[in-house]
Formats: sequence, structure tokens, C-alpha cells
Amino acid sequence: MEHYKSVHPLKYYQDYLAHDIRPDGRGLNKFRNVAINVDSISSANGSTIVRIGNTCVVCGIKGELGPPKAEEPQNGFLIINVDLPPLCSSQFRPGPPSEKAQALTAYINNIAQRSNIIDLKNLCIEADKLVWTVYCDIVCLNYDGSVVDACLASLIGSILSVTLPKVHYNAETSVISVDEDIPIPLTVLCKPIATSFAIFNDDIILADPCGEEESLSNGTVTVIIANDELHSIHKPGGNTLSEQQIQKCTSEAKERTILIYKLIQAAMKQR
Amino acid sequence: MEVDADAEEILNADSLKCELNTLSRADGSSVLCQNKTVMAAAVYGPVEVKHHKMLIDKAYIEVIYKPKCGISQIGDRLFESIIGSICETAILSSFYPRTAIYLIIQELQDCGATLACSINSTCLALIHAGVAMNFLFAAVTCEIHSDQNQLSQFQQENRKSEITFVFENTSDRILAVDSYGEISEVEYKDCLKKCRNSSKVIFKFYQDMISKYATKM
Repeated sequence: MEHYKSVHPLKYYQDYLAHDIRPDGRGLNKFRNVAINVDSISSANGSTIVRIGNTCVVCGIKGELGPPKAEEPQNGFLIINVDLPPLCSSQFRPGPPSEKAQALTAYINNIAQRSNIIDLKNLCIEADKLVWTVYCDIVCLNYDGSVVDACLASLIGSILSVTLPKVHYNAETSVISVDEDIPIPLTVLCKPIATSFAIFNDDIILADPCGEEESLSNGTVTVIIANDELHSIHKPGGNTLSEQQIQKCTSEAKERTILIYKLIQAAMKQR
Repeated sequence: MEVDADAEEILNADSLKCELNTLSRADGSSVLCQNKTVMAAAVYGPVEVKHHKMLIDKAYIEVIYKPKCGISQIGDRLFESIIGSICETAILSSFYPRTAIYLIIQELQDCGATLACSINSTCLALIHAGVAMNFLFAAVTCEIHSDQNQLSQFQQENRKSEITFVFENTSDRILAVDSYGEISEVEYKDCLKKCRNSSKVIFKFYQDMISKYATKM
């Protein structure tokens, strides 16, 4: 069986899928177990570790004070960076960020911006003088499929858990005083959660694909849901899907989002 | 191909202008003007491939997106990855094993819906290059504004969300979707219907372009 898998990986998968089961024992629309741990890194302002099966992602948030952009003197900054180091998978090499990491960073930044995760005006301390820059660094430790799901869940967990110290700005003397004793949480407006699917042979859709399934599949679909509303569908090419298939992915994603919300809430209580 | 009156709302045939064969050195090239957004695309290929990028069973496809000023940034990488995987499905890459196909897209003017315009100009350049394809593809962007009415192209301040659909011409299935911002189910269905109708305008436009240039090609 081992040899069959390494010689003919696609056929090996198809044989399983013909019986409506996947090699890891899951049904076609079954998700892997998710574990969420909030505030695991004490030196960060907020952090979350998310595990989806073997996929493991850490997000840490750091707040920095700085001047705002002249065009938007009222707005702070939310800067998200996704790192896919060589540690997480053999497909990534050391050196500058891979194309995949850059595309993922761009996608998650777009989501954060267009779905209004936080109001950037809340990061303002003194207009045109001093604002918070919130750096969210997401590092993948183990790349085994559905990394977008893990990245976004860890980002939302971290943003919910982050506290920034109270800052006083004296406009006359430009003196900044930071009061570490008064932690202020961020107001989170929207909590988008991603759910990924892989397309196999035109009509088979696998929920929450693992790394192997992703690389053998003919494309992926990522659905992002927040507050039971669709916030993004990202299907970059791959095999074509019918309207109904996309609809089905959306409704499955809605159910799963509720589960992830519950897990984040439970993790928030436990810390 | 019949075109619904609905389609006119997002995109009408008059707003599409295109010129093929603009670059003499490229194997295929196009400049597409969709409303006011203008994109140029060039196709080089099938050409020799660098050894470490060679695929033994199909062509290696690389997309390079150049913004109109400055160096390309991470947002452009996302565009490249979307266009790249669309082309990987559309191009019959198993026809050209151990070769490379390079697609270069140059942004000339950005008035919104740059992704849709660059996908369409890529398709036109591929047609012009005579690369074997499974199907043609057309992208349409639809913006949903806070006051519920939809419009393509113009980047307006009050837009709530936007969605880009990519369709193929052999079936009514969806090749790619990319959306940002909150969209309700009703809005999604409405956008899909309008975009699908508009895609027929684009496929008709492709036909016209081919018949116009086929005599010269």
C-alpha cells in the first residue's frame, strides 16, 4: 500500500474517494480537529496558536507608536504579515518571502481592510501626531493544508486578545507617557473566518484539505464568513465549479464558522 | 449569442476597445481598454524553459504583472497567482511539455476593475499568440454600493464590496471568483447573474476581434 501511494499518489486518492472516504479516515465533507490557544506568548501584546489537524500557525501582535500618514491623520495602521518559513514545509526555501507567502499576505491584508476588522480611527491617540501601528505577524510552523483558515483564525484570536497600554499625549510639550497598568482591548468590528475546500476531479469537493490533498487537487476554494454573511470567496482558477457547488461550500462554511467562534470564545475564557 | 438588457448595466460593448498585435517581438500581444481601465498583455511562448522550472508533462506558465509606476508589490503577487492559475486551467499545457509560456501584463491606466481587465487582456493576447486552449475566459467585476445599486469599473467612495467572476465559454460554470467586503446571498446571486450576462458581451467581443484580425494574422 505504501508503495502504491508513492508511485501513483493521484490514483491512490481516487480509489479512496470512489468510496466516499479519504486516506486519513475522514468523510468528504468532514473537517479536521481544531485547537486554539490564546495568549500563549507573554512578551507579545496579544497572541494565538491555531492548529487544524497538523497545520499549525502562530500569530503575535505588537503595538508601536508612531506618526500617522499625512493623507489620513486620523487613522492608525494594521499591518499583517504572513511568513511561510522553510521550517513549515519542504516547498519553501530560505531567502526572501516566497510568492505564495506574498499572495497570502496580500489576501489577508485585503480581507482585514475591506471587512473592517478594526476601525483604524480607534488606533488614533492624537490626530496628525501619534497613532498606534498594530503589527500582526503570522508564522506558519507546519504547512499541512488550509493555511488561510488557520492564519485568519489566529489573527482574529490575537486581535480579540490584544491589549494596548493607555497612552497620554501632551499636545503642548509633545511628551508621550505610557501607562502600562491600564490595558485597553481593541474594539473588534468584524470577525471573518475562512474555510477552505479542494476540488478533485471536477465534481468532488473536499472540505478542509490537508497538504497532500491540496497539492494533488485541481484548485481550491476559500470562503470567508463573518456574522453569518459572506465576506469573501477566493477561487483562483483551477477546475470550474457550478453555482450550486459554490453555494454548498458557502453553507458548509457558515456552519463551521460558528464552531470556530465557539472555540475562540472558549480559549479566551481559559487564558 | 443573445445579450440581456441587464448586462448593459455593468458593461456594454461600446466600453470595450482593443488592439491586437501591438508589440512586434512578442508572440501575442493586446491592449485592452475596458471603460477607462487600460491593460497591455504580451505572451511569449512556448519558449525554452530554465532547467529547474521545467515540467516534464506540461508547460511551465509564469505571469508577471507590472504596475504603472513603482516596483511591483505584494498585491500584484496576488494578481499574478490568480491569473496564473486561471491560465494553467485554460491553456492546454500538456500540448507543450518541457517549455515555458510567459505572460506579461502591464498596467497602463487604473480606473477600477484592474483584475478583470488584466484577465481579459491576457485572454486576448493568448488568442493572438495562437496558444492551444481548453476554453476562453472572461472576467467581470461588479461593485456593490451602499445604496444597493451595482456598477462595474468606477472605483467609488461608497462601494461596500466588490466581486470578480471569471467565466469560461464552453459551459456556464465558474472558473474563478474573487470578492471582498460583505455580500448578502441575494446580492451575490444578482451579481452572478449580471456578471454572467456581461461575460457574454465579452465573449462576443472576442469573436469580433478574432474576425477582425484573422485576415491579417
